[in-house]
Parts: sequence; C-alpha cells; structure tokens
Amino acid sequence: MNKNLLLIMFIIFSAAILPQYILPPVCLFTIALFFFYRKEVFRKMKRKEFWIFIFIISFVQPILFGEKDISILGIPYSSNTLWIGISMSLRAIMIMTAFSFLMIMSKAEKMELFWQRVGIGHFDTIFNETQNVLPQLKSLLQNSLTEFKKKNGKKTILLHPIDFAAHTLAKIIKTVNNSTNTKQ
Amino acid sequence: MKEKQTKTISHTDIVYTAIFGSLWGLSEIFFGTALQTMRIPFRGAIMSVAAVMILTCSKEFVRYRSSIIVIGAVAATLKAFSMMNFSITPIVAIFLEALIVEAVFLIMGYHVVSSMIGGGFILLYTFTHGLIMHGIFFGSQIYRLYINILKEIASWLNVHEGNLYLFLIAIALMYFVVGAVFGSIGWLIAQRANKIIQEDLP
Repeated sequence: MNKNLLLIMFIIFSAAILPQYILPPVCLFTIALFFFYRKEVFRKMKRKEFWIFIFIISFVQPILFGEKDISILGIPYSSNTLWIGISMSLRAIMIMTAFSFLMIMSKAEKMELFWQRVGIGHFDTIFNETQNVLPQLKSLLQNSLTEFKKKNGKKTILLHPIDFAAHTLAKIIKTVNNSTNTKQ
Repeated sequence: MKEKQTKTISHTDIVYTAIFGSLWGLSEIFFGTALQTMRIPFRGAIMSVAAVMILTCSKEFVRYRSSIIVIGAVAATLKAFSMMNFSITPIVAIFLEALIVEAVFLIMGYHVVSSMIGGGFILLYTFTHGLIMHGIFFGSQIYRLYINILKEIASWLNVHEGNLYLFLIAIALMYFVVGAVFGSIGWLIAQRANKIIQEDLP
C-alpha cells in the first residue's frame, strides 16, 4: 500500500483513539512536523470561514456552555469546554494538513491506475472512449439546444424540460454511436 | 459463468458508459465552477440533483453490473483532471453517490420506484455530508457541541428540544423527497430518450 496513505490512516486512527488530554500535544507535534517538512500543506487553510469556525469552537463555546470555573479578562469561562474546544480545533488542523499532504503527494494522472487496482475492469478502455466522446458532447449539446428552439419555439424548453432532455440525450447517443461504429 | 459476464462488456456498453461518465464529469466541472464563482447556497444539493438525473437515466442504457460505479470513476477522474489543486473531498463524494445508486439498483432492480429511492438516498447523503466531514475532522465531540447548540436554541425559542430534532428530520425528509422527484424525472427522461432512439431505428 502507498506509504503516504498509510501515514494518513495512522494519523486519523491516532486522532480517534488517543485520550483527550494527550491529543493536543500530539496534534501540535504533528502540525509542527508538517510545517517543517512541507509548508505548502497549510495553503489550503487560507479560507477565513474555517478560522471563524475554529475561533467559535475554541473560544466562544466555553463562554456559552459548560460549568464556568475560570475567568479570562473578566469573562467567565468553562476550563473543561475550553480544553475540549482547543483539542478539537487542533485535531481538525492536524487532519486537514494530513489530507493536504496526501493531495500534494497524489497526482490526478495516478487515478487511472488507482481505479484499475481497485478492480474497476475496462476502466482504461472506457476512459479512452471518454476522450473521443467529450469533444462531440460539447457541440452536440449546443446543436440540440438551437435545433429544439427552432423546431418548437423558445418557450418549449422551459415548458417541456423533460422532452428537451430526452431529445438531447437521444441525439447524443445516436450521434456518438454512429461515429464510433463508423470508426470501427 | 458470472465471472465471465462481469469481465466481458460489449462495445456499446463501453460507449454508453463513456457518454454518461462524460456527462456527469462535465456537469460536475461546469456546475461546480459556476456555482462556486457565484457563491450560490445549496451548491452540493444542486450538483447532486444533476447527478441523480444522470445516474437514474444511465441505468436504462448501461445495464451491466457495477456500470454506475464505472461511470462514477470516469466522472471523478475528469473532475480530478480539471482541478487546479487536487482535492479528495469531491472525488469521494462522486464515488459514494455512484456507490449508493448502484447498491439500490442491485438490490431493487431498475424501475421508477428504485430510481426514486436511489435519488432520495443521494440527496440524503448530500444533507449529511457536512456532518460526516465535521465528525472526521473535529471528532465526535463536535456532535455534542451541535446538540448543546440545539438545546440552547430550543430554550431561546421556548420550544421543546424534540421539536427541533423533528425539524431537522423534516429537512432531511425534504431532501429525500427532492431526490426522489428528480430520480423519477431521470427515469422518465431515459424512457422517452429510449423511445425516440427506437422510433428512429430502421
């Protein structure tokens, strides 16, 4: 099995079984390793929505839920919920960096090989056929739209979308079939 | 014998699989990019609706076992090639959707009811997709947080907590119904298209 995939599985498994009090330091250590080894794994975490969510889980949640037993800057906090929130956030960052690492190491070109390994027979033959079909599809979709408009009027597409879709699909199937039969 | 049947598929099957795989791949690339750029809400649901129609339609033309999984593999590969940065989530989602519909057709056979159920399950998966991913990233504690939030909302609104769960179930049911409706539309399109093709045959 791919060693990168094994590493990711190990990280996810560790995150699932490690007790709450050990998880944050382990996560921090893993994140630091990724930071020194592959900084580009953090590029994917630029979305501000993600950081807002992390902020809510780590720092807003302890104000709202749990028994308030400490006070930071005059705000009553639940230390237990704060700890849980921080460890959840660190876990999410660790797993996201692990997935990013896997994505960086994987290449789209390798997917064809992957499907064959998984046991999807004929994948190479079908994917080769896809490369013949794709250029035809674009022009066929445009042609059938103009043809249907001419034949039945503009409004008919909106009034009879099922008819339009059925005609388009039939046209695609007939044309592609004819062209591949001719090639054979 | 069974092994022989799964290993040999006709040239027509190969062409039809390529057609539906390309259609799904194109719709993923086109709608995915367009909806992302326009920042339209319910992007996942909209894309799943397109997937439901293509998949329920496809089984009419490609009847061999696991054909929908192959269609999913083609669509996922096309999507992977189109991405600037290779991302695993949409690939997993495409493959799981294909797996769900194939399982439904394998168990129930291909007819309008199974198309509706398959479509319903795809949309149901779309509804739970976010929750599943949050569970993977943040761990099971995130569900406790969500339950706490629900409890808090219930106390603010002065309603019973169970009613909010009912509300969530109602939304999930709504997703299922939408999927079922589009599943039946996909089946209907396939029947009509097949009729048109048969009529044009010499």
